[in-house]
Amino acid sequence: MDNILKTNAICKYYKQFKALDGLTMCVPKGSIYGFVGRNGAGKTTLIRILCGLQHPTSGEFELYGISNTDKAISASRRKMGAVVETPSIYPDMTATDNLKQQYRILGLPDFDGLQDLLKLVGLEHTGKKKVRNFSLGMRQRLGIAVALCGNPDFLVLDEPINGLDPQGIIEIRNLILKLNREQKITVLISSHILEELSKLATHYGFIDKGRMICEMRAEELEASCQACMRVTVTDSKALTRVLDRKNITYRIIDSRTVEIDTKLNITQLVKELSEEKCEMISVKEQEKSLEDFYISLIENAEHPESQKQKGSA
Amino acid sequence: MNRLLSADLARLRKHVLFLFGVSVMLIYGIVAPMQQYSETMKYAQISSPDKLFGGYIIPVCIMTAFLCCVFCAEEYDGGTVRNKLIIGHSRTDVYTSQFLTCLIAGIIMCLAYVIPSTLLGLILPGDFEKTASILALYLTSGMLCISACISIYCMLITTVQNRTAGTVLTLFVVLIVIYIGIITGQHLKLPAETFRVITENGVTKHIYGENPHYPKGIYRTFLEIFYDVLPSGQAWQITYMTAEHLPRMIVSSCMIIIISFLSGRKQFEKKDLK
Repeated sequence: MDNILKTNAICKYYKQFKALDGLTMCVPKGSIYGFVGRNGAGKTTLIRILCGLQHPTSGEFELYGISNTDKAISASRRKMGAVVETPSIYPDMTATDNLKQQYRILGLPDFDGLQDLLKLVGLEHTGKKKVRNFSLGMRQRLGIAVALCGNPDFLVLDEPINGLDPQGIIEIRNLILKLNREQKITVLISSHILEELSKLATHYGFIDKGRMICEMRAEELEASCQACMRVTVTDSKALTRVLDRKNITYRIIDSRTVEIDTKLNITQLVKELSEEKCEMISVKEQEKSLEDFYISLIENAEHPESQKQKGSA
Repeated sequence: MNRLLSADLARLRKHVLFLFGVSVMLIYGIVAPMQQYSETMKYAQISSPDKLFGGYIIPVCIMTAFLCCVFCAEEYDGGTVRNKLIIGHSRTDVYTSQFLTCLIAGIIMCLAYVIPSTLLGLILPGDFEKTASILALYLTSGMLCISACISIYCMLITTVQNRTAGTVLTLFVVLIVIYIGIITGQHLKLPAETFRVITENGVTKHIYGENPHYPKGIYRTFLEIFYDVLPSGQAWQITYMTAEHLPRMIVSSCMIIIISFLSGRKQFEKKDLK
């Protein structure tokens, strides 16, 4: 089994609103899967469905190869832990009592490993302090500790760094990396903070309006984010004819500007453009950030006609 | 299911509202007979402890309304109910465990009053007028009435799933139902006959006649059944130890428990949780 999670055309409707619209995705075992999408894209809805908090309107998913329609799905969920939106903890209890409570729910015979878990998330010195007096970062880490009770090998984190200060973000990031590398836990993280995700994720899934726009590995994303050229010419149609002949991917920005996803020999390009009776006005090399990539993905999904792709760049 | 119940009971043990409720009922269970005794001494009358036997029911009904709302809504509001579902517990088990925990809390609150008040009632002067079997029937009926209330509270809080809104709604329902109980009880207690006082030629006369407001026939039967079925009606009857149809009250409480439990559970199973 290479994939811990596979969803197949999952739909979720709230009356007329389509929160998920045939979403299909795969989370490979051992990966840190960055689930990227803007607010309201459907990330949390999918996570709620995976956790059994909501039922899909149609479609299905497999967790550890077991379909959600199978009764054994409940048993397979025991191998996963999740923090959905806010950490699920009792504010009037201490960190230790919260973990004890989860141990009881899991039916574990004793509280062995509880202190190790607190140490793992850096909450071993909280003593009798009630959770309501914890900082946001501490609560988030406690939420993760609760999700880790019972040694799951799949962790689902919904916006884990939302509202955290820089120190809190670093702590959560290091914790996730530690869990993935040392304990081989597969992690699904939903977020819209792309730069932060790029420091963690090995795989990405981009979602918009309840649909998966694309899934890719971190290396593929890195390649896609490499430098591109923004060329301004007197006639963009002439430029596109030249690029079409070369099988190069480009995006038309306006009637005079075209963005090219690869580096070209400028002398050669100028020569070919002059044959098309077109002049080059400027060439600007641009480093594409993850945000730029995401925005262009979303734009292309919304207006597919504005992007012309030919082969691979 | 056992795991959930063990976890919920562990949480209940340390719950502030539960500890407060038990303490209040315990103090009330000790103070009430002492007070009755001091009044007995004051007015040189021997008072029967029967009068205090059902005194727990209204306070427990109100306190369990608070407790159930806060205890259950904390799970929905704080999202801890997700921890249970994510690791594979069924919604049926989660709901049943919550209901049973609230039920246990309610019964402990009742016993916190009944045990000391009965013991003190036996120690202090004055004997029970009712037989042990009747008292047992009253106790059973009281416990079932509390259980019916708890079952309704659990159903209501499942619908709302918000601590503040749930507590407000439940207390509103409790107060309305108590009020309806009082009104119905007063209506049933109206005398069949009434009199008018008139003065004729300087002579005052009492003219007896039928009370036009006295419920009779099918309407009276309906009111009596309604008073026996309504939890607040039962509560008032048990409080004043004036119940005439204890078996009917027991059966109706059982029916309320079953219907509201099944309906709440079904609602919880269907509900999209956030």
